[in-house]
Amino acid sequence: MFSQQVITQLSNGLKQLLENCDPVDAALIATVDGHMVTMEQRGNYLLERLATMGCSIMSLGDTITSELKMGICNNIISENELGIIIFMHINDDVVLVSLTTQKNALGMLLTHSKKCAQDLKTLVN
Amino acid sequence: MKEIKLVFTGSMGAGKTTAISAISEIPVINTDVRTIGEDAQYKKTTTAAMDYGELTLDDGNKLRLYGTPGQERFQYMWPIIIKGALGLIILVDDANSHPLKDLALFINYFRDHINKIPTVVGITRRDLEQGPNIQEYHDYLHKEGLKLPIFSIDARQRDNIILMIQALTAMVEFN
Amino acid sequence: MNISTYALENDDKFFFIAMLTMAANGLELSEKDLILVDIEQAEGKKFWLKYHTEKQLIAFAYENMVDATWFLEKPIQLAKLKSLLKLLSQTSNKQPIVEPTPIVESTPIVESTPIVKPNDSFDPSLFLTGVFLKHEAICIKAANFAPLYILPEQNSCLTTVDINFRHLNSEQKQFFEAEISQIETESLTADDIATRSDLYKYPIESFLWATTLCSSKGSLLNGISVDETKILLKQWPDFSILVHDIAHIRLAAIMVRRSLTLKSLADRTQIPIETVVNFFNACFITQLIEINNNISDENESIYSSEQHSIFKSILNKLE
Ligand SMILES: Nc1nc2c(ncn2[C@@H]2O[C@H](COP(=O)(O)OP(=O)(O)OP(=O)(O)O)[C@@H](O)[C@H]2O)c(=O)[nH]1
Ligand SMILES: [Mg+2]
Repeated sequence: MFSQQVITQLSNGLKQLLENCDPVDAALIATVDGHMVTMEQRGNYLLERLATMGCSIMSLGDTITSELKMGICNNIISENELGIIIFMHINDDVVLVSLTTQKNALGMLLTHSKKCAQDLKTLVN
Repeated sequence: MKEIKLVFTGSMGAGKTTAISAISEIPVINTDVRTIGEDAQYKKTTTAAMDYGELTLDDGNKLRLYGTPGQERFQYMWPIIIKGALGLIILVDDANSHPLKDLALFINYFRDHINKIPTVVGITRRDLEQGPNIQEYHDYLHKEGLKLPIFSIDARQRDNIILMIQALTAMVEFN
Repeated sequence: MNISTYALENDDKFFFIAMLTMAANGLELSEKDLILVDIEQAEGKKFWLKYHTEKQLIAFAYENMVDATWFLEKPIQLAKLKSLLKLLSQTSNKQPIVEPTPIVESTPIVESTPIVKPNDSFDPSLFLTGVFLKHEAICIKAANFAPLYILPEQNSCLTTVDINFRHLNSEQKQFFEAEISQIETESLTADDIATRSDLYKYPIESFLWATTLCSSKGSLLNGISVDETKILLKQWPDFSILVHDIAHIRLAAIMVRRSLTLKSLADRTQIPIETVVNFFNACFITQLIEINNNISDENESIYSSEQHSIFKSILNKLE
């Protein structure tokens, strides 16, 4: 699917995200059909399952957006009692999932994740 | 209004999405995504969350048709979708490399539901490859203490989907 | 040939009787009295030891542990019974065996079932069913229908006609009802049709089923009693490749769960007894039936009539 070289570059992109944005606890890249490509985290999350679930959510998001003729679904934000998760397309093939346990970090998480996705886009195209 | 729900489950590529499309009166809401990597040789898209179709019954009630994703890694969707189902249709792709194992996976997973709601098994894509004999599927179910209807079907054929619903109906009548 | 049975269990006895006519179909049978003995039953074993030198006995067991000349392996299968009959008819007059003495019939422990055929019973050998049961590679012509090529080795029937077993047309029905006098057969090898690309291929089971269902016309196979024999369906027929209508699906649903007589099936389902009988014959011929005279366990119902009416309204909408 992706060469080892590309995967390494993608990992580095995620490391960068965690470095640039303190509140981010974990981030991963998955294919749209739910396979993990790579991940980085500070904690001890079971991210494999999040990769597949992220792709289910993203596909539902795409379905809803196209149902309402709202163009492309950029991202899905899940705000929860103990944290925030963001799902977004890097391109048609891969998805970025990032999360934080800080409830007030939505803005930062979103901005940095978007930038990260933008940077990685050229690698996966 | 009460929930009337049929669930289609079964192995990847068996035809769950196709079967629901064959009888739904609304365009099926589908969450198929492109397959990437190895799966792509086998199939271009796969269901990532669920399929949803509808049929309005004569009394105005809606029959809701749900399809699960087939791949095991989406298993977390299965219990969400099966909740409240009135009947279960398990589709197995006969042309896959281990169709008997595929059947076993779904029988085991949904065993509690199978004991409570009528369930039928459809073996699909039998025109493509010489898979197991239908008898082998029956033998497996007998070992499991089950006597479910097993039909060799083509998920693209409306008639075949109706046959499975006829069997479910008869099972509910004489149980 | 007259074969009676000794010490057979009920199931075996029914099967044997029902299959005998089918197996004998097409064979030249000699005048002979034989007794099929279940040597795995204590009574049967005793009987065997006592009479095997002086009577013409056929041993019936899972294995031929007594080295019997004539042996029928359990469970009874048409093909096995057929080859036994063949053997019997070939070796007929050479065996210097004493005729069975009347003791057999008069001893109280003997239960003997003479094979009598009621007039209105369904005799498969009079129809296409019999031809299929021969298990031979042949080409059939009947009732103005396109030639039908049967290749048992490949478990397939081939013809130029595209048959939809859900909706037989009247021409196809006529073919499946054909009587033996209307049927011509020619021998066939797989090579004869190997190059034909205009043929549709079907499993033999589909044809065996269709002809039995269509030609039974309410007459029951030999050896089965409408109001005494309790039967059970071993498994659901694969209706997608078999002629059927909704009545057959309803019958299957009840017959896999409860052991009932044909009469009580008709009563419970409100399906005409003729339809029940035709369906039973077709199931029997395709080996889906289990004779089960034990008292049927009345399993608890788990579905409500409300659920049933919901399903019926779904079907209403779809059909
Ligand atoms: N040749 C043949 N093709 C069939 C038959 N039944 C279904 N198909 C085809 O098989 C494919 C099934 O694909 P889907 O309906 O997406 O399968 P699915 O079960 O939803 O798959 P997942 O969502 O990936 O688990 C479709 O291309 C159908 O047209 C059959 O009996 N014969
Ligand atoms: Mg699908």
